[in-house]
Amino acid sequence: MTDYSATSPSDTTPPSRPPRWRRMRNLAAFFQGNLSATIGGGIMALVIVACLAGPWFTAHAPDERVARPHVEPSAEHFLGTTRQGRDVFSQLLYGGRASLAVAFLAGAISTVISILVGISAGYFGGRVDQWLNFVMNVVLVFPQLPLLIVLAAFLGQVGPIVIALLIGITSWPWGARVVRSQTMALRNKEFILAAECMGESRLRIVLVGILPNLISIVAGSFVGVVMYALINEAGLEFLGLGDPTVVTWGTMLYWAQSSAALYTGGWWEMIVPAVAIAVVGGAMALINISIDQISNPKLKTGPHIRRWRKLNQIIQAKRLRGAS
Amino acid sequence: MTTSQQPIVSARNLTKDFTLGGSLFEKTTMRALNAVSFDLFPGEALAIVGESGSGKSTGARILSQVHDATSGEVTYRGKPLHDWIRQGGKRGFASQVQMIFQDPFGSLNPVHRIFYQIARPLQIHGKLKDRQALTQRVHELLETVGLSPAAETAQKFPYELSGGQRQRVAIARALAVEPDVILADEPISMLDVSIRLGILNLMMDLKDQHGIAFMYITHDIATARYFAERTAVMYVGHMVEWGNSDAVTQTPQHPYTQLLLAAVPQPGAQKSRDMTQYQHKADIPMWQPDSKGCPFAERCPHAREICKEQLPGVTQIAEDHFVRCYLYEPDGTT
Repeated sequence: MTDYSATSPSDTTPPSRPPRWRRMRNLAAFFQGNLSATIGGGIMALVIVACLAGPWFTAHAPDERVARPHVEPSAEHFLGTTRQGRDVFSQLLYGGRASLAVAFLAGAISTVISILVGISAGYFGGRVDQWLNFVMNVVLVFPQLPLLIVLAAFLGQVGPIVIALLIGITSWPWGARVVRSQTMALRNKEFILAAECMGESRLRIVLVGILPNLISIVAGSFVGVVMYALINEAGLEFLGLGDPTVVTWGTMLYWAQSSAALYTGGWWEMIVPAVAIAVVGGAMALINISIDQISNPKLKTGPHIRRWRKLNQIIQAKRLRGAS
Repeated sequence: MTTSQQPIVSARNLTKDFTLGGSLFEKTTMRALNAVSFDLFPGEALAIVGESGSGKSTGARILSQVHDATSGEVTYRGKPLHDWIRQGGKRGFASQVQMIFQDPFGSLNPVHRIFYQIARPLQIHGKLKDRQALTQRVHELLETVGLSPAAETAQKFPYELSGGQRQRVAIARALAVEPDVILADEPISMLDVSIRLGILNLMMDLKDQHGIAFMYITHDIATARYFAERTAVMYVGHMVEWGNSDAVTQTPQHPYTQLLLAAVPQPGAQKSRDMTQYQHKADIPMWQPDSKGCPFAERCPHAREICKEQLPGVTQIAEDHFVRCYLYEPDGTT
């Protein structure tokens, strides 16, 4: 993008680094000054890596009997075994793959639909907006979890991909509404008017003019849907509406419940997937909180204010010391 | 004046109605422009002066194709606007007429670098193909509007620039397509007073050196006289007085123009002018298609019966000085 060969002689600054490097540095700077992003991103990275590299951490297959039922956590089985004698730790890692895949797939489906619908409604307005808004409202008034239960029950015991599809196509209206209202606000901004005056094509105005301005909202709603999908998937499977032969965090809960793990003293069978879901959900929430600051440059003042406050504290402390 | 030249933009009886909300069965229509005619000559500036809601921006937005006129005609180089659009499309016409907006904080896309903002019009209109020439041209444009070092500015985001710098970027962007006409919609009203003159002088240079015609929309009649050769004063969608800037501002005829000039603060004068006759008399009316009379009649200290009945005709005061007021009609006493 940058070509510095044509700089004027008055320009005394040396050529900057390549932009890709700069972008990486920006990313690093983002995490550096942002505790919640660092913690949330760190947890997510850890969980994803652990799940993907599952076979390296555990020798046991997740769906095979490897020990006696409800063996307590030990060196051989870090997190004990289930009632069926399966290793909980390897179930956690392998099940995480399916659970996270469902969550991210649902998030992606929902985000794509909400962007398409929201931007079209917001930018084109008029009749297009009326119809899309109508569809949005219809999907919005469906009670989601009951609908999912009915759909899942109707389809029989459904696999993770079907669950991801179901969650994806029922959870987009919230995101779409936010995208629509924000697009409507941007649509009347003068830079969009300027682009139209310039003769910019509509597609490019939408994709390059408006969409990048929506990144924080889109990313926020994506993370929100991922969180929601993770929990709902677990909920559906816990109720026995998912395919119980597939190992996910939801089916782990289902098996723990149906084998009365808590009553028989095998608390780890129940606690482990529950904590996993809670931790990942919490990490997502942390990322969601800090995501605004990536795309909204005005919010980037955070560290400066913190630094200024710290400086003020030092000055105050010195003043106090001087007074005493 | 330049009466020998052909006008580059010419508007005749331009009228624009906006439909307002109102109830389901009864829609209110507001007439933002009523039978407005003006000419714009190459290398010249026409100032459109008026208060908020007087329809001055609407005129510019019709020229820049944001709105369509309800009735009336706009010709560009002697050819109706619609013919231009039919031949070259909006994009083709966009390379001739460009706009500068009021709010320098809203007119640049916050997510793109300055380089992109100026390179885009060049790319759209295919002015330059290869990267090197494009970069060079962007830097040239930035130098033209006084933003140096250009290479450094090009890599910045809009939020890193001040209001005046951003307005310079907006001007550079308008210049990129090498337009014949620039519509400047209150380009300095949101800037600090200390940098207004810089922007005005920059536009003056562009006008004189590049022969660009400016339509300068403002509420500040003092800068109109400084910048523009000709001035038109608008009130509630009507042109009430127009002509040579010096004539309009030195010998204002219409009571509204007199009010505008009296409202310009003068250094040294101690609240000397009596403004009370204009104040608190009435609200600014909303003009509707069936409204009648002179729009200023409600506030005018000289208003007579006829002012509320019928829109006054055009009276020529001097060679290039026109007014729409019964005070100056030869048989205006009727």
